[in-house]
Amino acid sequence: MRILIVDDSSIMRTLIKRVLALANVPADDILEAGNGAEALAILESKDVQVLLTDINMPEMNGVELLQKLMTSDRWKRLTRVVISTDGSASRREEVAGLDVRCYLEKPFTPEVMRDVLNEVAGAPGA
Amino acid sequence: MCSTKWPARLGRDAVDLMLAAVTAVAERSFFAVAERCDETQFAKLAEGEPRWIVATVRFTEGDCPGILTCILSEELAHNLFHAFAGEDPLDPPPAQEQLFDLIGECANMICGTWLTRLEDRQTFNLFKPVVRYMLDRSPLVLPEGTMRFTLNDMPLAINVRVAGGAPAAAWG
Repeated sequence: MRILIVDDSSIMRTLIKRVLALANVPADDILEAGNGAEALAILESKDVQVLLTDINMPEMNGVELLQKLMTSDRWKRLTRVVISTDGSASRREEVAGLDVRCYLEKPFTPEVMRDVLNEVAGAPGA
Repeated sequence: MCSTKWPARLGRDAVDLMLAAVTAVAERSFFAVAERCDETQFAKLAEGEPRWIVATVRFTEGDCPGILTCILSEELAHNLFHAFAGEDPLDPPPAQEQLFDLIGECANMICGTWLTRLEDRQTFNLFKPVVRYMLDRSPLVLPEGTMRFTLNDMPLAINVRVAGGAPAAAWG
């Protein structure tokens, strides 16, 4: 399983990778991107099963990335998880129609992240 | 002029929510204890701290801009880094880039959590935090409306400015 982590904070990407390892999530390859545009470039060139994306990022934010992914059947089986400081009902509603499997609000405990990852690791496409 | 309607007063309610936000971030991300702190206690804790870090997060709540600023001692910053990274507190301090990245993310999470609790029906946008060392060695003169806390008994000050609204009331 190949996982793509999208967050403009390198320390947050490192934390997520560490939790993935501690949770024994069966990931063969973990990729990283600092914004939606970088993520899209990776998704266009590699077969990714799980996407973990922040919302507030420069150049292309998480919502714009998710909207882009809806324009093609190519990413139909991509499991999408949002990880964001914006836990407002409005934001959750905004992404609800963008095929998001889970919405994880920062700050999160490693245990909560682990549970979410274990759930999506068994999702279709993963 | 912002069309976003801020709460009628950025007073006690907003400060209570900020404490709740700081507590959530402290506990979940850093396994730290957050408490409110009055001016006198803060000054005492701040005395002798050689270096301070300032993290600023610009945000828009709807179409209304604002700025959240966190000021913390370098010692607290190192403490938070070791906790976040799962390292021993006695490990060598991190590189500045890594440290600033973490403190920026901390400010980001505090700001986002506060905004979510302040107005759940309004989306917001956060801009990349700007983190720097404070040039002035003394942080004791803080802007009006600054909120004072401790994380693991170390000083943390937070100031919020919003367009068209009053600053959050000072505490204590």
